[in-house]
Amino acid sequence: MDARSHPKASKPGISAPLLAFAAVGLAAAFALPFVRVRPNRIADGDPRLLIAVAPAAAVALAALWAAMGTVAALRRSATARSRAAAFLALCAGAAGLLAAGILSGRLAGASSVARVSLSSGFWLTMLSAYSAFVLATRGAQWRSRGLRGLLSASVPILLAAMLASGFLDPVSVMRELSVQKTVFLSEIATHAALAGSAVVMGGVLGIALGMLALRHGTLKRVVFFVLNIVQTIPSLALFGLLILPLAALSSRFPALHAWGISGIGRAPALIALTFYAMLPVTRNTHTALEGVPSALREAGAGMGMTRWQLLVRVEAPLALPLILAGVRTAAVQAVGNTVVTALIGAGGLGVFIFQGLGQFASDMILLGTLPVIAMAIVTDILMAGAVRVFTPRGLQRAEA
Amino acid sequence: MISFDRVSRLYGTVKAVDGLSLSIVDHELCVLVGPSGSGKSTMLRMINRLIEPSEGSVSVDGRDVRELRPEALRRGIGYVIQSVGLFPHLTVAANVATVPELLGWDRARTAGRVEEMLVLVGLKPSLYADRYPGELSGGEAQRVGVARALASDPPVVLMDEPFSAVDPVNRLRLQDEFLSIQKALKKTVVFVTHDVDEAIRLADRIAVVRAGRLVQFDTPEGILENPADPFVAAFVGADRALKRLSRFPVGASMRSAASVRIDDDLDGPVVRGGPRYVWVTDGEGRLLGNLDTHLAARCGDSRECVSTENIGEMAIESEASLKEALSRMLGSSARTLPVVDRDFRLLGEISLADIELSAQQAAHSQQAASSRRAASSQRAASSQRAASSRRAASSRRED
Repeated sequence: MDARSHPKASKPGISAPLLAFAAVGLAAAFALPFVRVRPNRIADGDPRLLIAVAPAAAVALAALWAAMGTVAALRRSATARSRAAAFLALCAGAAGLLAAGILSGRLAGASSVARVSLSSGFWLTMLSAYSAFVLATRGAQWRSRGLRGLLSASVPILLAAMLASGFLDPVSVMRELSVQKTVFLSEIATHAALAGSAVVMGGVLGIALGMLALRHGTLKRVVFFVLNIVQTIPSLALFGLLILPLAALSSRFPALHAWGISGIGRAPALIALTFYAMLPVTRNTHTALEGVPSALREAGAGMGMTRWQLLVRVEAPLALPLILAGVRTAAVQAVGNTVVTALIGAGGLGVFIFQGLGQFASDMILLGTLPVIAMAIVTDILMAGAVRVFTPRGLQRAEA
Repeated sequence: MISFDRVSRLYGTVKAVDGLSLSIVDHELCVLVGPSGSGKSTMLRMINRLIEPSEGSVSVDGRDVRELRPEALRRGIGYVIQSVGLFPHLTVAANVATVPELLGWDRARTAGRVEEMLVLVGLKPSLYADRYPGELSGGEAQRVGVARALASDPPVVLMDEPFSAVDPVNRLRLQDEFLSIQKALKKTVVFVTHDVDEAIRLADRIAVVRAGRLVQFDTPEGILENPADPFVAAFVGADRALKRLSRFPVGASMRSAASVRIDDDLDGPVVRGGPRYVWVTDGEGRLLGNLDTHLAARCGDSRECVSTENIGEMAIESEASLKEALSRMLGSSARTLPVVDRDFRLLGEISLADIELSAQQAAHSQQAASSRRAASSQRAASSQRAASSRRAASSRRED
């Protein structure tokens, strides 16, 4: 009966994206350099194909991707395909990491300055595996939520286990990390604090402005005019624009200076990041409240709700999912935007990226980039969970 | 009592309501009826201050509505709107509990009341309390809307086209149900609709509204009998006599019917000598069919001569209107219909002649009533004239 009512879900077409990921994965395993062996930290490397340095690993990866291609082409059941693809993607990712760890240890040998850095073949393998995994774990065809949860949870667990075991330590990024450990920890904390406070402040201000904009037409035009302009200013230019007025304020009022407010550093960074965070939150708050049907307002008011009760009991619960979706966008953007604040001395993971660029040290660049990507993904997943949790049950069923 | 005293409402230069004076009697269901845009909804919303009058005043129980905070006023008045307006994020039970919660009732009292209200509107609490509005049909949602409006037991209920978004079959059922609720609770109901049939079915009194003005205020019978002007006549339609029949339940005009029980009575000679046609019931009195006794005399077993053909379509419930009975008769060849209760038990029968008789009686009593009213309104008018001439005289003295 289930099969008849959902003919498409049970007999899927060929999955073009999965097929593409499998093809990229195959190419990465065979045709692209998997690692580069470099005599020292900043020297250019010598590219090596995986098939040349570890034929067994190459064959294993190729087999996994070929299986993925077969799964993508078979038109049996969407559920079975999703499960198989997610499992294969997980295996391919793990195999890529394993190969990287083993190769780095073997190729660097006993030299303490030589480094084995990961190259395009590795990165494309990871990208294909991740994309295929996300694609496979999404969608409604998963009958068992528990299984999907288990698979999704296994990714961070696997990664954490590999990092903690020291298995990946020979990889050049990890060696860079071991050199910079203290700085890294403090910068990652700074990064999280900067992005986090910007999102909190931008969220609070954005929600307030979005609500006010609903009441006052003029304010609405002004708010969106300003926020839209701010959004078009490149972040670096915005920092530049803030340096002069803040420096002037700081020298005029010593109290502000004592608080740490000056032309460069955290103050302008936080102000700019807050501005960027405000637009999505303000816009979503406004749209969400505007979208509350007028019949509900009339019913509420007609039964004797005060403005405040109407807001708390009716408007807020209905608007919250969309408002949180705005916060989600703002948070993911903030994690990325915070990178640039390193340029005006606010710190954060951008420090490694810009220093690395200056020193031509690719490992240092990666040391900044990889945690930013991870932080953005984790933020996105957490906020998506928050949106789900705060969507009232009555609305979830209506959408399903 | 709800009264409007020379109330007007202006939108720019347009008068949506124009000098309305109207008194709505307690425990009556008053229907404001008129074409779209005639200002009837505006009138309704001035009672709970969702709209404030530009001139004049509205009072409930002798108190000007402006004496209370709007929120306090509204919590004491039930309100049902056309689009129902159930809160989609709250369960049916939480929706119904809205006003009791605003009034600060304790949890047990609210829960008890919610259950009571759901039963009242015919929704099983165990089945519906935890559902969400998105899972209800239009008719069910409307019932919840009514339950929500009645939850705090307000003396006054305002209903703004509550049934107009429901399909015709369900609308009739909702109207019937609401009528029986109203019969039990006796609220003061102000009901807005543009549907004349609905107005005539439900109203104790109808206010016909046109372009913001009250054109006629009378009982449904009075309006059908004596439309105040050509507009009202056209609005209620040329089939006024038929519409009037929709006011009378079959049960009030039926006569007792000759019937026999299929088990015992058909064995003996009881059937012979009575009327030619008799209804046949089972042991519990449920209608099975009819019997031509002349024919039965020639049947070996009278039971085999019982005709059960079309009996389901012929039988009419005692709550149905005479209009419906007449329509059934015209639709079939039968001139006499069996009247049954909800369990299909035979109560009596009704014939074309009975309908005619009821219609004539109603017309007579109506004429008598309207001539009485005409006399009293003449008296009122003359006393008003006297009063205004006194006022005129006193103001002359002040000059």
